Amino acid sequence: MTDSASHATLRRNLLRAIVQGLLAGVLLSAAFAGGFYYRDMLAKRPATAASFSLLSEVEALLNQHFLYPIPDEETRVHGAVNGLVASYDDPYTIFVEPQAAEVDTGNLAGRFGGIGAEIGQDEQGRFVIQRVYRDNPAHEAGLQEGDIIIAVDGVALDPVRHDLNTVISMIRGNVGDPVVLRIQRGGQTLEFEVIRAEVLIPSTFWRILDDDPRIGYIQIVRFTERAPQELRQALSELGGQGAEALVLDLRNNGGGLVDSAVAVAGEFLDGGVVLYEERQGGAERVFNASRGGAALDLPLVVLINQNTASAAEIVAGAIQDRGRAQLVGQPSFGKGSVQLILPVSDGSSLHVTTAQWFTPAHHRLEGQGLTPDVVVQPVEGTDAELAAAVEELQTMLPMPGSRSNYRLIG
Amino acid sequence: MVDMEESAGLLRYARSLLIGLLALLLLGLTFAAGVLTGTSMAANPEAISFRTPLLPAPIVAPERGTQPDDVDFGVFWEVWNTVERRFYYDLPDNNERMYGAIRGMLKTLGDPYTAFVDPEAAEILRQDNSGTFEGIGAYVEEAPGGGVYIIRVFEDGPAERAGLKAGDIVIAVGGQDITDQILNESLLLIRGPAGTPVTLTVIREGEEEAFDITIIRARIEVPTVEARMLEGNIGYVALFEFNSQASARLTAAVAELLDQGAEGIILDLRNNPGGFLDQAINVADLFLDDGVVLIERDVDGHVREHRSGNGEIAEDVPLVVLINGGSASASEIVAGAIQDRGRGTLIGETTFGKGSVQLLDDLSDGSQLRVTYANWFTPLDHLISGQGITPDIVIESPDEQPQGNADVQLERAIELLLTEQ
Repeated sequence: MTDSASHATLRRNLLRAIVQGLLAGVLLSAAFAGGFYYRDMLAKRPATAASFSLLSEVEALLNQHFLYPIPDEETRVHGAVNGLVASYDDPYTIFVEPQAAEVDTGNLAGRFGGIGAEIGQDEQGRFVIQRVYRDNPAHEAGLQEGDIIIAVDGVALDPVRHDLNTVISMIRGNVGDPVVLRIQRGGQTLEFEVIRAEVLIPSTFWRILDDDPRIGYIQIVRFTERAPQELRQALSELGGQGAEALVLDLRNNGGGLVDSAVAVAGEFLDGGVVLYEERQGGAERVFNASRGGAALDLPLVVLINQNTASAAEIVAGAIQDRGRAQLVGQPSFGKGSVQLILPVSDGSSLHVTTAQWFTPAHHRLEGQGLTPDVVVQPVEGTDAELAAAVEELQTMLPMPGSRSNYRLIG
Repeated sequence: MVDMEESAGLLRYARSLLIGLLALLLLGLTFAAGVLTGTSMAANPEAISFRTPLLPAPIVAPERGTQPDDVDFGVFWEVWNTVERRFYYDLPDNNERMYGAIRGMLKTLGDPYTAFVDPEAAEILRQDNSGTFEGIGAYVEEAPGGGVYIIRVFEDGPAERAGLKAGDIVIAVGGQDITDQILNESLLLIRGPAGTPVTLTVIREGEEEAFDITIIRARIEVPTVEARMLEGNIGYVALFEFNSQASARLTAAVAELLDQGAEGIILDLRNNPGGFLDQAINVADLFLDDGVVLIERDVDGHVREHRSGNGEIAEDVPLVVLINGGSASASEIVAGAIQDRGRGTLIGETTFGKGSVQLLDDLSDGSQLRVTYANWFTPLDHLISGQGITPDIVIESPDEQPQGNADVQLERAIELLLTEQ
């Protein structure tokens, strides 16, 4: 090789090296920039990430400047959740904090470990025993209606620090475990140790009517998990006592579990639609009654009033729309929304309105309620609605003395 | 021969492959470096800015405080996501939900003055607090059925000249229906640059159909100061709020009164809800010579004294200050300083009792956070939170104004000044 040729080669190699170097440099910069903007794009893509940084900004400013003590993390997070839930502007979509959630669950199940007494607060905020259930530990231990609870297991109760749900949580507990209650009665301070047992809150009450021993009266106060089996027990006993017609009283029943309502409806309707449920996006679901109920043919009247709501309206609405029986009383509440109760990981629960429901005839309940077939206004001092129901049923029954064609399947 | 060439070729191939892989690795690492840089920059935003001109408090660089990531918001996101998946009705937009969450969180602090202001409201406040804005000139409130109710039109303002009247209800702006908007959103539509037209659709009692009024917007002064001469060479000046024009306009009004021969001044701070701290200090300075106006104590224990100086025009003239339960915050700073320094007499009712100071922070989306960062104390080191300032002469406002609008507190102030002279 000659010198010039080697120079040329060198120059060519140099040129090539420079170009390659530049190319490499450009590629590297592009890679860096790509990474930077990729992350940026990811951060912006869910709108929540961008607006969440606002919450972070606020938290940072508070930490830096706020003059007074800042509440603990759980309080602040729950505060944020409550604010979030308020923004949905639906009175039935709510966030329930752990203690209240626990009490809720127990109430809906209709069973929990406790002492068997109803506790409320008087005007001064003191915690008072309002009712003692028969055959339950509180009753057996000697607690009485009117007793004021001043301490639970040595912890003095203070209406400022403790709310009713907290006190109830303190008293409820594991079946078999003791709880010590210090109470005030008259001028005395007394102490009771009560062994918790499984308390069953009844949802259903029944009897044969004094006025007409052919008519059985069943009152369901709430659609707990146990309501269907309590109803079956009622139907069985009333059948055994010779009932040929029934009054189903759903007045002041504020609702409860949809599944319980459907099961209850199934005792009176032989299969078929009980309700339609429409979810977000329009998907419709049908809930059908089971077959083989215990009171499919018996003359029946259902009592409702303005406090008959939600699950109770499901039952009354199905019975009315399917032509099974008439509704007597006043128009019902008109709650046609369904909430799902979902547990949250810290023990709270979230009630979310997930659906609207419609009667078998596709009537929308939200805001308008059921119209009774026979409107009866309440009268003070007497049960006018029940009297009207009895009158109605008596027209459907053969004269006393002759045989009835109806049977109650026990 | 062949073997050597082949192995040389293989070697060259392997080397190229290695270089290729290394190059790829280098590119990948550089990409990752870009991502990490972006992430670390976002975690320490310098987007939080303090409005220096409006608050004399020093800008404190972040010294302490936990990183926001330390707080476990898991439960919050569980709820957010669950509702998003299941909710039957329409969801409010992301921002509204987040504002709700912020408000809920602030509520747990138990301090009514630490508050979140959404972007629209913040914009209106910014305009109002500046002392002037560009719009049509009217006092408004939300109409019960939706829309904007005209309480009063400013005298000689664009709205009045165009024929808008008190009692009118605006239901659309520029053809856009405003009846389902909140007031601040509607206000932002009605306001606009001076000189530009805006067409309001109006319902008026007595008129069968809604009709349009077109108004040319102008620069509107927020009514801040009102002054007049009273009998006996007494100058009367009312200050309505401590916006950023307050001390300038008040000084001008007082100068005018003194020029007209005022031998005594009545400063009326009744129902003045407060405003900016530096305006309060300037107003106090107008009437006070060298000395303390207020003492600030913040969360870190820093103490800061704010002082008045000599040389203002109204440091000697006999002074009476009118106060009542609606006199708050900056009004109490001024009244408290005048009382503690023995500069003048306070007449009226005990004041509101707001003794804390808030920092106003603009957040990255235009919303505003007000944070209580300090308590303020009078020159004699009294904290007035919750108790207010007690006047030297207590005169209750009558529950109902009798015919003729007798202002008993003002009358007492005049009487005092006349007897003092």
